[in-house]
Formats: sequence, structure tokens, C-alpha cells
Amino acid sequence: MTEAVDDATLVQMFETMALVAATDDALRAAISAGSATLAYYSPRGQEAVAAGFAAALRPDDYLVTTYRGLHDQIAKGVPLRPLLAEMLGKAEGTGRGKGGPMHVSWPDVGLMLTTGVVGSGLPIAAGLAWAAARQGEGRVTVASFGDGATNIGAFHEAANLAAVWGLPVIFLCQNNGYGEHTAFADHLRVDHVAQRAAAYGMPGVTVDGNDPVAVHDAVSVAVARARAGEGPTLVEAVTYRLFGHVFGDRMTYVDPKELEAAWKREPVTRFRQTLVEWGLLSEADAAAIEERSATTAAATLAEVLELPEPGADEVLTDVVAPAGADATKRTARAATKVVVPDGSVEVSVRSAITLALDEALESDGRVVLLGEDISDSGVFGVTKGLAAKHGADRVRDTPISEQAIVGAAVGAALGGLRPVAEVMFMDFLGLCLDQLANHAAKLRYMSGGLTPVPMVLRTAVGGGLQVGAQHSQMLEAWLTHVPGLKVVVPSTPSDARGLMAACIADEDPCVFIEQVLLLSRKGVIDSTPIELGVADIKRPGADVTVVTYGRQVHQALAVADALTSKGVEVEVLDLRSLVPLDEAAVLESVGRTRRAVILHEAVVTGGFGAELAAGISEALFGRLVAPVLRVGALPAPLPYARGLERLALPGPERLLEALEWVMAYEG
Amino acid sequence: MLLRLPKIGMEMTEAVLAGWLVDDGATVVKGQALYEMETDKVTNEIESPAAGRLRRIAQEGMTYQVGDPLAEIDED
Repeated sequence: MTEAVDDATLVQMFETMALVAATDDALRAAISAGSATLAYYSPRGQEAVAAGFAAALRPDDYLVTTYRGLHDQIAKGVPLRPLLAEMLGKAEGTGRGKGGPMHVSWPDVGLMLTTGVVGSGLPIAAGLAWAAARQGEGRVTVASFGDGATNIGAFHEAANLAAVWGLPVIFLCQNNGYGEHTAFADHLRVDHVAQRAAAYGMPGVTVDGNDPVAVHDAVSVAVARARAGEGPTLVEAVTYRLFGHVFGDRMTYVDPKELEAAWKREPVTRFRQTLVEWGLLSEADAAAIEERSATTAAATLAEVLELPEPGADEVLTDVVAPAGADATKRTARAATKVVVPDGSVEVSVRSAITLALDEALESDGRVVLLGEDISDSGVFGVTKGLAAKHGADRVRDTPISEQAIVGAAVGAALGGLRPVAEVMFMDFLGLCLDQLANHAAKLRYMSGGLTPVPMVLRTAVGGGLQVGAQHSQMLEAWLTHVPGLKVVVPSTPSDARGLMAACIADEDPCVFIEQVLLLSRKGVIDSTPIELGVADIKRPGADVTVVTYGRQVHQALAVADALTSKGVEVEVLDLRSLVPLDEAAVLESVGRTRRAVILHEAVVTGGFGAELAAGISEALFGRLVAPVLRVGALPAPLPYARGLERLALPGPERLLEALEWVMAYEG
Repeated sequence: MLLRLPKIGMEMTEAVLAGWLVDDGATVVKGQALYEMETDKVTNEIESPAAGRLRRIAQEGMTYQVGDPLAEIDED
């Protein structure tokens, strides 16, 4: 169990609180004076929570916090200068000025994430805890959040996942009485956030968040439990937000008497008095600590205000890993216990993906799989046999919790694993797009390269199977629009295996799209490694290029064969990855044939084909002999009835028609 | 210390100096409300970031951009 906090730690907690208050004071003064212009979410009043929990942690324990996180960041040990520099958008900032005050990361002291999205850090904390537990270093993860966050789905999904998996997480709710401008009593119908722990089968405890010793003691119990492998705890520290939501908040929604009472419980002054009463500090000692903090904060802020902003070259740096960053990993093959079929045996796309996952699990201990029902082969049998071979702790079933699945993958990647998450159908990306688009995609950039997210998200698409509009959509355009995500769509068994291996080896988040109708298609495996961003000419031709990907490649090949009899030679260019895009291959091919038709299963409107068509037109306008055409699904939710579904999806007839139109075009 | 029009919240670009709350040349303490500024969204009282003697620069009723000088505080 935990020991009573020692005298030196008590004094150190006061020093932390004094530094937080002084830094907050300096920042608010600079904003008032107009010398700093940032949206600032003051943690003033919550100092004791940060000082208390941080004193209960090891330096290597992880922390995930939120935009009201200055106190947490300082307490965990983030140095003041890069912290303030990030808040003010300077090149010396933790994220080289690209994240800003809501997005501070400093892995040196375990600060892996500061998120600007309420609640989103919790699934990521679960993933960090999973990584730490697998690595066996006894690290715990503290997820810090407000009372408002306990009403968002991410909280519930993360709490449940952490409990079901027994993860070493401390869910630390800093209940400051308000979610934005809404009072606690108006957004919850329980008296204490800690009561919610019962719903997930974990302990929940409420403590005085203005007393750092109380917070320290409660967190210490939770930490001991987590390190012992006994799972998560919800600690609710009841505190108060003394300066409202954001700087300039007039707090008109707060009863002045309530605010006055809160100031009487102001934690820094209170703890100072306690330490003086206990004889640990004299009044003079305490005053000296406060004065030193004020000097440090003011001097650091003054220095930081004069620092330069990041250079223009930073704008496109850290969007994805620099070229060649993953080269060493990609050479790590040699899977001794995996039998790779030789060139005489045909395997299905499904088996090829299974093979790639098997090889990765075999050759790289960091690789883990997570998703719904995946230990029992997954909905389409892609993960069949992998749990039995590699263990259910590496091929891990999850609750039906898409945010938690993707968030845990993000966290696991931050924690040094190579997670491959499965979201059963691409249509369900809507449930977890925040984790993918706001976190996986952006964390490398916003941290100036400190926190890359090397994860893979596998997801299936049921178009053509008559499974209705919520299990059928190709939504790749949602993803290609977000800088930081890589998007891959295989068309053959060989490509599926090679591209999956490349995705797992990649240093960035990759979405791997598995069209269900393609899974049983067979072919031989070519073991030549495939790089992301390298298109493949599946059929050479001199007259017109069909730019396509996924199962539509085969449709294009069939139509191309049919056109040969009419004297038209169609080139079929399979992009394989949409991001990174092999722009050179597209322009080389279309530059040669001077005609292009883009074919994809997704709805034409706003689809990836529009991006391709624009790119081709911009680069080859004068060279084209016909307009670039796009063939894709009709602009409707995919209908269920067989005939209607066929009509809505791009069939060979529409591709043939487009090709004939382009060939006949005379300007 | 030069006091400039602060940026309050995410979208503010300018504000009207609605009124001075201290006289020109007055001695102010840190945290004392100095002036009211008014945007389309809200009226705010801005507190003094330092103690000292205040010298007004800006005029009541005029519109200023974020970063425009409004006053100066002679510290000591």
C-alpha cells in the first residue's frame, strides 16, 4: 500500500502549486496587456490536483491531459520555457509552435498528449496503458479531464475498455464545477462523478481537490492498484475553476457568493497556511518560494515573448514521417514460422491479409491486433487463427466501442506498439472519426514530430453485397482530405499482403480498406516488398488510362479486354495507395495516353476522383485530347434492392460508355 | 509597460473602448479594472497587469484593433 507523503514532497508540492499560480498570473497579465494573444484556459484554483497526482507518479509514468492543462503540464515536469513557447506559437515550443496551447506534448516527462477535444484523451490513455502493461515496465497512465468530459461517449467507452482489459489507468476527473458554462448540477444527475465508476466495475473515489495531500493519497492508492495489475480507478478531485472557462469569461453564470466562497478555499494560500502550521515552512520560506516562482514565470515569459516564430519551412514538416524513416523496419522480415505460398499456389485476398498480419505478429513483438470478435476470426475471417497462434492478449477482442478501439490504437502507438485495429465496417468510421482525424492524423504534426502514431486501421466495405446503406460505403474521400492519414486500397492478394506489411512498418497512421467482394479473389503471391505511394500498371495500353483502385481494378481489366476487339488499348493504372499518391505514375501514364477515365466505387460527388481529375487537368491541360471523366456510384445512399444497388454502383457498362466517349471525343 | 488591446476569445479582432474606469495619471494596482471594452459579442472589464501610474493613450468611444496601444503604465 501507499506510504504517507514525506516532508520534502509536501514542500515540493507547494513549490509546484506556487509555480502554476505564478505562471498563470504572468500569462493573464500578458494577455491583459495585449502582448500575448492566445485563447487561454486558466487552471487557477486546480493547482492542488496537479501537484497531488504528480507527486504520486514516477517520472516515466504517462499523462494525458486537456486544454486546461497548464497545471498538469508543469506538475509533470514539462520545462517552462518550451511550454510557454508553445503556448505563444514560437519555434522553441514543445511542438515547434505548430500545436499551440491546447496541444502540448513532452514525452521526456511522460506527457504524451494534450487534447483540445473534451474526453478524447481517455481512450488514448487506455491505449498507452495497454502498451505500458505489455512492455512490463510497471508504468501507469493518468488521464486527466474535467467533469464535463464524463458525459461524452469517449469517457464511457474508455472506462469500460480499461476495466474489461484491467489496464493500469487512473482516470482523474478534475471536477471544477462546470462543463464550459454549464454547472455540474445541470449536466449530471448523480452527486459525484465517482459514482459512475460503479457502471464499469472499477473503484471510484471522491476527494477534496483543493487539498494536494488528499489527491496524492487517493492517486497513490490507484497507482498501487494499477501497478499491481488490478486495473483502473476513477478518482474525482472536487475543485473549482476560479477564472471561468476562457480568459475574458465574465462568469455571469456564476453566483458571486459561490465564487467568493471558492476564493476562500483557494488551494495555494490554503496549503501554504497548512505547511506553516505544520512547521514545514516559515512564512518567510513560503514567501520566498512564491517570489521565486513569480520571478521565474515572469522572466521566462518575457524571454519567450521575444523568441522567433517557426520558419516557413515548418508548415509542411512533420505532416508525415520524412522519407526513408521506416526503411530499417521494413527490412525486418524473416518470419520463421509463417509459410509463404510459393508462386504456384493461388491464395485469396483474405488469406493474403491474414498472412501479412501473421508475418508481422511473428517478426515484430510490438505488433498487436484489436477489434470486435477478432480472436474468433473477425466478421470476414481475416484474423482467423491468429489469436490461437499469437495469444489472445496480442489479438485482442474489444467491446463494441469504435472510439475506444481507435483511441486505444492511437495510445498504443504513442506508447511504442504497432497496433492494427479493426473497425468492422467503414461506415462506422463516423463513430470514431475524432480519434482518427483529430488525433491519429495530427499528433505528429502538432507535437513537432515528438509523438508519431504508427498504427493501421483495417476496415471493410460491403458494397455489392446487398447489405444496405450503412454497411456499404467507400468513404476514402473523408480520409484523403485529412493531412496526416495514409489511405490504402489493395486489389490483389499480392498487393494486399505487400501493402499491409508496408502499412504496419510505416511510421504514420494508415487506413487499410478491405472491400468484402474482393476478399475471395485469388492470385499468386509475389514477395517483392511494396512501398506505399507506388502505383502499379495492371495492364499496359496506349490509348486511354483508367485510373482506379481496389476491386474496380478488375472491372477495368475486363472492360479493357472487351475493348481490344474494337482496336482500343486501355491502360489500367492501380493506385494501390491514395495517400501517398503516386502522382508521377498518374501523370506519366495519362501524359502518354492523353486520355483518362477515373473509376471508383465511391459516390462521384466530392470523391477522390475529383482530386485526381483536378490534378491531371492542372498538370496536363494542354496535352489532353479529351476531358477527364469520372465514373463512380450515383449520388444516393447505396440502396438495398439488388437491381437498384447494381444501378447505383459503377458497373462495366458505365465504364465502357465513358471510355468510348473519351475515345470518340473530337473537341 | 505598454498596454495594448487584448484578444479575448478566439474570434475577436477589434473592440470599442467603451469607457475608462480610472483617471488619466491615476495610480493603479495590479488586478484593478482599468477600462471596459466592447465587442459584438461581449463587454469586458480589463484588469491591470501591473501596478503603477496610468497614462491614457486611447480615446473612449473609438474602435481599436487587437494590439493597438491603449495606455501605458509607469511601474515603480
